[in-house]
Amino acid sequence: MILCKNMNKGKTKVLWELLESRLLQYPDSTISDEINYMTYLEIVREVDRISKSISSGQSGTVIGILCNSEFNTAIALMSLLKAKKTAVLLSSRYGENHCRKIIDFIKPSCIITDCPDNSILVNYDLSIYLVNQCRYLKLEQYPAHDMPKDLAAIMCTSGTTGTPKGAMITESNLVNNLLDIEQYFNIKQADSILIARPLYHAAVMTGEFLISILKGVDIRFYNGEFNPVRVIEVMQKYAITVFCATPTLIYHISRIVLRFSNPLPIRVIAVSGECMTGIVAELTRKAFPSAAIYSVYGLTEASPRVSYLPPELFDDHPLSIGYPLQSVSAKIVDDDGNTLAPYKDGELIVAAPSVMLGYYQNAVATSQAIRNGWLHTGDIAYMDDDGLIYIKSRKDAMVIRAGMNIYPQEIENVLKIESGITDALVYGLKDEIVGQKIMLKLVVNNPAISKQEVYEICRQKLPSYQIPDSVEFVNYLEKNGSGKLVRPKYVGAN
Amino acid sequence: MEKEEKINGIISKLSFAGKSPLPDDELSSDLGFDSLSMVELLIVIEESLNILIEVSDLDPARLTTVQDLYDLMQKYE
Repeated sequence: MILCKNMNKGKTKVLWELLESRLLQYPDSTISDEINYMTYLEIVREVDRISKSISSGQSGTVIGILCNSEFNTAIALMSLLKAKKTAVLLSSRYGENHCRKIIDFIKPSCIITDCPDNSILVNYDLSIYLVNQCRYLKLEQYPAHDMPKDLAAIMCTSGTTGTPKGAMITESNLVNNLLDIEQYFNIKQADSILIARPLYHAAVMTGEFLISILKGVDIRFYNGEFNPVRVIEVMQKYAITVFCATPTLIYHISRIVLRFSNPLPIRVIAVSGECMTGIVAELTRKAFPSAAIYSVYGLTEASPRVSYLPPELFDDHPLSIGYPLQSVSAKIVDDDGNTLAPYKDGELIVAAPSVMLGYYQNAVATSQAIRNGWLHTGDIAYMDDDGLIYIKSRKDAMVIRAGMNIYPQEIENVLKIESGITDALVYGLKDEIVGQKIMLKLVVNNPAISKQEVYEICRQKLPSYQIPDSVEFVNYLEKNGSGKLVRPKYVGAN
Repeated sequence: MEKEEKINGIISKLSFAGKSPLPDDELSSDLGFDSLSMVELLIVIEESLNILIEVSDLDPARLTTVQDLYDLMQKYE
């Protein structure tokens, strides 16, 4: 089955012009966190000041953003859009190694930060720009990277080998995705959104932050580790009406909300990042009986939004990711590229003006992902008679836990070089709450090695989101004729 | 004492580290709990001990060590 819409009819409006027009249209709307507070009008002035200041130094064209505060990340991002630089969003929330890998791979010429003492930055000979002081702390002269002119951002995702993949997202990609989201996402100036995840994720940058500006919504950032009790406190204190999260986070929020006698004033919820399960859908509805719940789907490579489930269908089709957006075409194909009939499982592929240019300096991965103009999502899905899409599993070994994409090979490669460990297998196990749990099987040549020691290794060598949920010691791991690991078949949510 | 043993059993079961917890063990760095799994831990303890934990006590930021957890549970008989 194929759903073909306005293929290749992309809009080419400049992103900053679009954002600035909306910021000025809603001058009294606000962006804030626990320290900062600015109206949209003040934001326009601040972005103008910072973009001019950044451009005054020849600090190159590809600039990383590493801030402790998401408010400052947002200001830095908008300033780079205005200054026509390419932003590389970083987040220290997933560990220093994770950040360093991205810096080593993309090699930005400058980092914008609000924390110059950050240990990640110490070993790099880069320009450092202090966003909250509007000045360079250190300025190295850099020639401009040779980049496409409207390249807004390089959004990094995990890769199987441990080297990140950098999706090159243009201004036009983002504008098209935003205008599509704007058509269905019913949020308005009177709303207040709580953004509790880092802008490092495309789903948060586009699907929460930028779209909120387009609609004039008050934006409140929550910094730090996700703590459901604190998040709910902020929701209550600031009368939050819009909240977006993964099913895992919504599950934890919902369980606590159900303990209150008065419901929270949440009017709109958007859920994305992993497969919804029946248990989480039911609990979410119980905790937020009158909220419009959007189940949405996307991937970084599509800037990211691809489909959405209209909220009036959520209770009847809670496991569906809905219909493609206005300018997205989607089809389900078999391994030979043949379009499949309704209810037949195959790979979901999409074509849209929001699909990335390609992966930064990785032509091989780009040619595997985008073929004949179609982005291959790697998700196995089917469509029903009405065109509603359902995700069933992954084509590759990737595991999605609590909304984070995890490649087993990346973890296995880290563990296999540790002394005492001879072989490792990581796989996902279906879980009704977090989507999948990460299971680890180890073959060791030192019988004295304990789970506690394995945990210590994981804690030191892996970012927190990659630490397995459990470990099992085994005598051998099954391999096929060519010596490759036989991976357990992933079972999806449906 | 019986309550602490029950709590220890639950921690061992839910913790990746898989070890018997000591009172001074830190829930995050020694036992591998993050803020979400700490809430999960509290709710499993709640069900196991047949108590109702107040929402403010479900805040994982208030807990550092296993002893903190024992102390918190003293409140609920």
